[in-house]
Amino acid sequence: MNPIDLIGVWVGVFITLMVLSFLYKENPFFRLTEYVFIGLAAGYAFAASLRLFIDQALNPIFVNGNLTFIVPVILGSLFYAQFTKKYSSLYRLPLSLAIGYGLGVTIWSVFATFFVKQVIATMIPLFTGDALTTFDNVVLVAGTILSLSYFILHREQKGVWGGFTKIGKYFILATLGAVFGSTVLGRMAIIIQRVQFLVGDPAFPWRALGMGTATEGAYAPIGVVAFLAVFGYYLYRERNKTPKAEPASKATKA
Amino acid sequence: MAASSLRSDPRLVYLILLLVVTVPVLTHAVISVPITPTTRALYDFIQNLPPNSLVVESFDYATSVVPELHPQAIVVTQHIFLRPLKVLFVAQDPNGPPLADAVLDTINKGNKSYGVDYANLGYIPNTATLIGMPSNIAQFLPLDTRGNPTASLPIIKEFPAAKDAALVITFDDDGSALYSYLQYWQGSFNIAVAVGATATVAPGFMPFYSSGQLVGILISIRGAAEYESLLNQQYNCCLGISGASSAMVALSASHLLIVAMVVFGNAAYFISRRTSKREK
Amino acid sequence: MSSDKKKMTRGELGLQVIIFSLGFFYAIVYYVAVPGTVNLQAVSDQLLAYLTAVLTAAFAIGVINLTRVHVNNIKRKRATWRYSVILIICLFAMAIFSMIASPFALDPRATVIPAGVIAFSTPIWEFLYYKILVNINSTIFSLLAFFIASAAYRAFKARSLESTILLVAGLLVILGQAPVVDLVWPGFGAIRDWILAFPNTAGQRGILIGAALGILVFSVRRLFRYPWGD
Repeated sequence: MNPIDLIGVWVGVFITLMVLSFLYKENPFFRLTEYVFIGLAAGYAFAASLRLFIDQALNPIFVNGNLTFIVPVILGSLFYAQFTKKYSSLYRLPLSLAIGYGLGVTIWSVFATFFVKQVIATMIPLFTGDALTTFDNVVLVAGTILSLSYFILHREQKGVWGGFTKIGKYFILATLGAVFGSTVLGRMAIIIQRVQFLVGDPAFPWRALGMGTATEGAYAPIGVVAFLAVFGYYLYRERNKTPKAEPASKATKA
Repeated sequence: MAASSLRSDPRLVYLILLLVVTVPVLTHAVISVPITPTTRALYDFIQNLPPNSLVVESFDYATSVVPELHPQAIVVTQHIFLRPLKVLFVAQDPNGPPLADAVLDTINKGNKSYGVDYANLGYIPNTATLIGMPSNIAQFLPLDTRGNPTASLPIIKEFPAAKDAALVITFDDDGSALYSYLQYWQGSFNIAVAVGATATVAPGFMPFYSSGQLVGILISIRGAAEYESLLNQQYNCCLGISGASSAMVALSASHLLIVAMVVFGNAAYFISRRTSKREK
Repeated sequence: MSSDKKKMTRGELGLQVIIFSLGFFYAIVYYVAVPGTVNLQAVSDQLLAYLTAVLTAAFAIGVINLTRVHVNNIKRKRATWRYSVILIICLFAMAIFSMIASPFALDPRATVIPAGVIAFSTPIWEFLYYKILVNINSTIFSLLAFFIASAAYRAFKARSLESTILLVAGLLVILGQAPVVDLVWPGFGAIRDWILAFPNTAGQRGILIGAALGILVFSVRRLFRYPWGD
């Protein structure tokens, strides 16, 4: 058994329960984890971005000797002009490069992937030999056209046209219902794995998530008991906190 | 009275959910999982890839959805390592590279060696790099996560351009990475694409599966459990490597609780509506 | 159409020319090949490499902003200043250890940084990343499960036809994806698969095509016009 991993498991348990304590009520434990999370995530993202800058911009200059990359580096450094008052608008120059490139690539890529291929996929035979397949295809084609019609807003949705758009709305609602149902699966999966971690279940992927092995994990419930004791003590102190005494001047006025 | 208690203090609902999830976890019950068509399609596609094909696995999820997507990454990677295939790991999320390393530490790699059969090329920083990779991997990802020059790796000498990949599978939590692979890799080079998705975004990927743009979809932890079942049927192994199968009873219990909550809430609503109508 | 269009300044016109030139080039390079003259794909790839260098130069913007805000909090002793101290410490500690020992380490082969320093920093980085960051991130997302359970009871009511359709579709999908239920009666799984494959796909496809048209129109408009004009 690795003592560092064991301590890591207990720290992980404490962290997990500090976040979950928000369900009881807002408290300093939860707020602490919020700030720790932002700090750690931002620090990691910074290191990742710096390494990329070195690989993509500085290595071509200093390792490969390609001095043409000096210009893009200077242009990229203009992003930091936003922190100055006098030259802050200079950041728009590299931003324009990114916008222009993004727009150009979007035009051909979105058109092909999201529009052409999806329209082609909707062009399926409506009436086939099999009744079930016919029904499925009618649902797919009619549903696609009617849901699209719901977003045509320049024409008032009433009369026969309103009837079509109403059916389109029902298809979209069915879609949203399916998304809701699916979301339940996702959220429950996350809480189940958290519970597996807290009870020290061997089925939790301890090694994969860098939490040692199941041997250290089996001691996780000790951390749970310890946290509950600490949190219980905090709640007890909060409940028994005496209100602050009134200032003397207010008391004499009364 | 129960209805008003639940309404007035949601913490009671939280406690019920916690109990409903914890009890099955403590009993360690495992059940078999019916296979959905999208999971079967992905499994069959990988199973039928010609030997020595290249698969690109893209780790595009944040640590927040590790419970949903990490089990998928484990089972799919294990499947690839059980077959005579080569694999490159990339990531469009900065958290991806260490998660890829964690998967490699978990699975049984057999006699495959780093640099020859697989390599972790790290983070793809932006769209520009992604678009360039199908033409030349080493130019746009010059170093792997271990600091080796990408061009020196035997697997890159064999597959210098990503357009030679037989499949790219992205484990994606919000769709941005999937759309970029569909747009730039499949759109220009016709590379087959599959996705391991969180449950929230998986319904949004169904049009791409229906149109043939995706060869398969794994949906959340249930998809991983289904894949484990398939691996167990074919290779008589791997049940439980990702922890997904053992979560299925707890998953079922929590789902039934949600259904019960909805039914109970609606029943209370209709009863109170009828009562107030009668009073009028 | 408005009759008094805002006139672009020289600087704005210059930026618009850059946006249009680059955008137009990348829009057409996919469709156009000019054999025997310029290899447009090679030009496109080289420009991409330069653009990557420009974009990655913004690596420190987030950290600078975050540090400014929280150092300000500390200087002015705002209510949460102690938490800001912890944030700054975590930020710089994680940045330093990540630069030394993470998969994004600046010197993974120990050519400049001593191997001993890397060996010392690696378990610390792994502790910060796996034991703390991953746990906080996963648990914050798991809070949503509890809120869904609470909302399932309090908010999801079949008050109208629309909400009933949404609720019925949702409940059928939930029942179909619970493995125990699926084993008791496979029909639930089949219903769930059907809902995802047909009504859901139809609705999603309608939304996708509509969104794609909107994005295309916006992109073309933006290429030719300045955003604050008409």
